[in-house]
Amino acid sequence: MNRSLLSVEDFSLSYGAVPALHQVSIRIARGESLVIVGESGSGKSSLGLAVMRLLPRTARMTTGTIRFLASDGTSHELTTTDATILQRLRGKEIGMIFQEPMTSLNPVYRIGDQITEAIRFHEALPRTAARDRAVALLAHLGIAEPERRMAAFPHELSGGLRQRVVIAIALVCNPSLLIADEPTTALDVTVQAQILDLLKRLRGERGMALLFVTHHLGVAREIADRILVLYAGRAVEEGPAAAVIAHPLHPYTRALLQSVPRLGMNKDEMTLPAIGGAVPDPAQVPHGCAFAPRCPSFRSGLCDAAPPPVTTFGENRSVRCFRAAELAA
Amino acid sequence: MLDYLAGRFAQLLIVLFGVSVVVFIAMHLLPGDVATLLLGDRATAASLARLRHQLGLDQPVIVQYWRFLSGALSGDFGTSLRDNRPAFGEVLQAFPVTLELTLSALLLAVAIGVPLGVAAALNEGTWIDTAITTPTLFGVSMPVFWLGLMVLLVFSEKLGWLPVGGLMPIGVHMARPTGLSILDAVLSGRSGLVWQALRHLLLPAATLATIPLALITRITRGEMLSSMNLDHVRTARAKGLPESRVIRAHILRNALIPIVTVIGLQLGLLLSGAVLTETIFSLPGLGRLMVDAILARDYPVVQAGAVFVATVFVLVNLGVDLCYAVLDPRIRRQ
Repeated sequence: MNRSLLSVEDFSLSYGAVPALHQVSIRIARGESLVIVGESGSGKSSLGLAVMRLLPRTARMTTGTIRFLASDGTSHELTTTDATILQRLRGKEIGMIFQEPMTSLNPVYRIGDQITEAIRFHEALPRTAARDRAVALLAHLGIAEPERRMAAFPHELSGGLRQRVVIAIALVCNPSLLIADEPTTALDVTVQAQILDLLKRLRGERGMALLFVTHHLGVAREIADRILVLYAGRAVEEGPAAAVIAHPLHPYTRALLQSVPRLGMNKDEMTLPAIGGAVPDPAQVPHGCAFAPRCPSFRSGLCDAAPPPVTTFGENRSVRCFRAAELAA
Repeated sequence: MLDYLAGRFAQLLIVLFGVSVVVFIAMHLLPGDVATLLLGDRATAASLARLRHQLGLDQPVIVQYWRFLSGALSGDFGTSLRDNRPAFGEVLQAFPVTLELTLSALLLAVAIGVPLGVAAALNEGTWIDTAITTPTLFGVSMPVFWLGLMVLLVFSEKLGWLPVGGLMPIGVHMARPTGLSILDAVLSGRSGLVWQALRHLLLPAATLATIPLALITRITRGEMLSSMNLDHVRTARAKGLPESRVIRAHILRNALIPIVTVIGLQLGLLLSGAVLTETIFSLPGLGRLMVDAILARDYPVVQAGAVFVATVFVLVNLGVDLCYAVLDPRIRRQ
C-alpha cells in the first residue's frame, strides 16, 4: 500500500470570477512535511483552507479533487464529503493552526475550555481526563504553569503563548496531518524560532504529516522534507527541500532565493536583488508563463506563447518552465 | 469590583441630585398657580393665600427646594395635591403595573427577536432574510398609539378574543400584595385569575414589544453577521465542532454584548413609563400616573415619580454594565 495521506489533484479555485489556484496537485505521505512557498496572493493559504473546507463563501472550486486517507483506512473526497464526516475529520484527523494568534482564539472562553472543547466532540472522554490531557499537552508545548494557564483568557497571554494554545487545540486529538498557515508570521523573530523548533520536535515525536504554508524560504528550509513553490496560483516547482534550495530549477525560485539575506554576507552582497515588477493581477494572468513578464530568462515567442508544460527531473523533481533544462545545464 | 460599585453609587447620587433640581425648577417654572388650580376660579383671595401658605408656596424658592430635598431623603415627597395620599406611595403603587408590562414586552421581544435575527443572519441575502428584515423596518417606525388602537379594534372589538383594557375584568376583585397582576393571581391560588391576568396583559405587552422586537432582531442579525467572519469562528470549525455548536457558542455568544446593550436601554426607557400603551389599554401604570399628575400640576407626585424613574434608570444601566463583565472577560479586569 503506497497511498498518500493527502492527495490534491488538479485543483483549481476562484473567488467569484477571479482565479486563485490553477490546477495545483500535491501529495503528502504519512509523516512527511510539505512546505508551500509563495508570495502574498499566490493562493497558498487558500490551498490549506481548501483541505479543511474552511474557505470563505465566495470561493468556488472549479476543478480537481482532494482525497484524504483517514486512520481507519477509509478514503474521503474532502470537497464533496458530507458535513458530518467532515466534522469528524476536522480536529480529529486533520489539525490546523492559523496565522493570527491574536484573533484565532475566542476572547470570551478560558484557554482550558477551548482546548478541551475539541476533545469533547471527538472522544468519549471524561471531563477530568480531557482536562488532564490538555494540561499535559500545554506543559509539553513549553508553557510554564499549565494548570494556571488553563484558567486564563486569551487576552491575558502573549502572542507566542497564544500560538502555543492554538497549536495545542490543533494537536489535542493527535491528528495525522497538521496544516499550518503561516503560523509564525505574526510573531517576534525569537518566538518564531521557538515555534518552528516546537513544530519540528512534535513532528518527530508524533510522526505527523505537515502541510506548512509560508512566504519565507528560510522557514521552509528549516522544516520541509519537500517544497512546492506557488506563483500566481500555479505550482512552478516542486522537489526535495535540500535540492530545491541548493539547485533551484525555476527562475522564480532562483530569484526568491537570491532575495533572502544570509548570515555571513559581506558588504558588497548586502544589497539584495529584488524581483522586478509585481505579481500579476489574478484576473489577468499572462497567457503564456505567468512569471514571464518578470523573468530574467524570458524568451519572446516561447515563454509568452503558451503555458509551460511540467518538466520532470529525476524521480522527484518537477518544474514548469520552458527553459528549465537549458538553464539547469 | 467594590471600588467600581462604590463609584457607580456615587454617580447615582449625583444623577439623582441633578434630577431633583431639574424637576423642581421645571415644576415651578410652569405657568399657572397651583392654588387657583386646586380651588377653582371663584376662590377668594384669602383662601388662596391660606392654601399657598399651607403648601409652603409663599416661601422663597430655595427654602421650598430645601424642604423638598430633606423630605425626599427620608422618602417623603409630600402628599398628592389631588387626593392627599403620600406622593411616593402613589408612585410605588403604579410602578408594579409598568414593571410587569415592561418585562412581559421585553421577554416577548427577546424571545422572538433573537432567534429571528439569528435566522436572518444565517440566511443572509435569501428570501428568509428579506422576509424577516422587511417587517422589522415597519416595526421600528410604527407609531404605538396607532398600532395599539388597531390591535384593540381587531382583537377586542371585531374578534372579541381579548379584553379592551384594564388589569382584570370589571367586578373581579383580587388582593394585590405585590402589585404584579400575574404574580398576585398565582398567589391567590385561583387559576381563573391567572388566565384573566394573562389575557389582559397580552395586547398591551405585544403592542409595547413591537419597537424593541424590531430593534433586537436587527441588532442580532447585524452582530451575528460581523461575528461570523471572525478568525476564532474558523478555529472553532477547524476543531470539528458541529455547526449548531459553532453558531451558538462561538458566534451568538460573542454577539451578545451589543444585544444586551439594546435590551438594557429599552428596559430603562420602557420602565420610565409606557405612557401611550398604558393610556390606550387603561392600565394604572407609572406613565399614566405621571401624565395625569403633570396635567393636574400635582407637583409632589411628579417630583416623586421623576426621582424614582431616574433611580430605576441608573440602576438598570448599572445592571447592564455588570452583565458586560459577565459576558466579556476582557472588561472584568478594567
